Amino acid sequence: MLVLTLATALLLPAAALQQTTDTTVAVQRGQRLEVAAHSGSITVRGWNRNAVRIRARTDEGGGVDVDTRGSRVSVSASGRRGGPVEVAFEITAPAWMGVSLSGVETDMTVSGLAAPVEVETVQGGVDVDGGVDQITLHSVQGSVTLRNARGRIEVGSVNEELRLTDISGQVSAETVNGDVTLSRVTSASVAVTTVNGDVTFSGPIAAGGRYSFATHNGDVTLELPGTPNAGVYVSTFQGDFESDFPVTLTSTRRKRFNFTLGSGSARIELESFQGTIALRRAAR
Amino acid sequence: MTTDLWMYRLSEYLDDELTPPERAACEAHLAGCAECRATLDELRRVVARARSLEDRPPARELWSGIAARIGATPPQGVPALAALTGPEAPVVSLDAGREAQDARDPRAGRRRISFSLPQLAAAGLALTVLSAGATALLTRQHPAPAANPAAAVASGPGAGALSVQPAAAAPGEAREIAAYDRAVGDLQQVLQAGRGRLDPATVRVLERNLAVIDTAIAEAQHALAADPQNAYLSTHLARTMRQKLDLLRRAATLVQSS
Repeated sequence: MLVLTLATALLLPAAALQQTTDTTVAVQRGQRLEVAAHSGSITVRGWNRNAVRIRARTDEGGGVDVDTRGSRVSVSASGRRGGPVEVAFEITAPAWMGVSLSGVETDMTVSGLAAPVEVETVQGGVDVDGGVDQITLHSVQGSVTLRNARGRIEVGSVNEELRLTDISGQVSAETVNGDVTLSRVTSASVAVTTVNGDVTFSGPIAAGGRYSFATHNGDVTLELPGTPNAGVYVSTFQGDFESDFPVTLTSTRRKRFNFTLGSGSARIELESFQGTIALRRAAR
Repeated sequence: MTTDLWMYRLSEYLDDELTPPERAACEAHLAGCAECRATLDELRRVVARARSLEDRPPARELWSGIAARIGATPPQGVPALAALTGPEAPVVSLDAGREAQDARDPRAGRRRISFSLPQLAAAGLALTVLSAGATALLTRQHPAPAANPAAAVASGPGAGALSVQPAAAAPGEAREIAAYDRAVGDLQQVLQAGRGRLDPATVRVLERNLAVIDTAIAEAQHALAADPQNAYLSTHLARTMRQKLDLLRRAATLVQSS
């Protein structure tokens, strides 16, 4: 058990309140890293040591708390009177260590981890490179970017775009006012929803997979390699449909129709209230 | 008729609203389609659950989870949620938001301007119901503006609560729509009462995005009025309504945790 309260500056003039903390604690497999910062930034990088190095900088004094009790390593910062403080955390953690980051006005960056990642912020962007198993990333006012991850992936924003690249696993992405771009995604289960934004997907269609892409005010574009085997269900109210693949309609009712590509083993649902829905053949 | 078109009409089957030939065809299809049978079973469960929602306080286990999630720092004037864990929970007045609500929403005079904390919890349950696949059922017979002038969507930050007069829909349907209406209203009041505790920029973003969703809801409703049999529009409207609940729930959580 280790509880550290590091470096508290008191009664100093503002110019002297810049505080830097640098400490390293040993950790064991199975522990999880939890970091909270009301405002500022949290950056976590993976390394191959069984230790967590915490560097923190604040311009407002205050302290950094590190608690290694039990299965968690908890890191947080507080101001001189215990209130919220702006802090820049730079943390290095074992690549196997799952992380949970939370903040309000906080930008979040994670890289080099082969472990679960959970991020929640309000006014900040989220940028994650890596992660396995459960990956959950949410912001309200910031964009969310995820690269090189695999597992059960859930990403969301309210007012910004979602961008996922080189992903494998089950994917769920939802925003209100932003585009959703999924590039080089290998998945048998994808669900994407936005209200005011474009939806773009590129990747193979898995046999028996289920894919759902929906927007109200935007385009839906799928870029598919080879000859996909899928039943395709298209719905729009005022939009258009374009396809690079030969389409033979099996059912149509106004602007709702479905057709089969190849064996039809997967299911692809494409919906845009008033945008263009397009199936593109991926360039070799 | 394809599998999927029958799936679109399962709620009509459930409500015994298909013609006899259609019902026979649907049952023949159900006999050979496991996916549609599973969906029908889910619809039955959801309907049963939705109907049990009305005026029933949530179970203690559920309530404790909700209280833990949203009750860390209750707004001024609101009792600590931890103390309110049963059906005896009092009604909480949110007068702070009443004037603004009244000014925006002409229906406000007919609506509760206070809510019980279990009802707030029920908002979460309603969300679960909507996301569980009952949305088509909930909105399929939702009266669209042109088809039924009694139903309307308010505009502005408080918009989206669906106003349905009892005569406009069958009792079960009205109850389900009213549950949504109440959930939206309760969550909006949480946001209204606690907006001073959020960063103004966050409030602006939330309101702007609620307006985006309200616009989408209104467009979908107008489209549905023009094409009331369009299953896509019903589903799309339902999904957009669920997104509004999602956003309001998230906003309420932000308020409670700030």
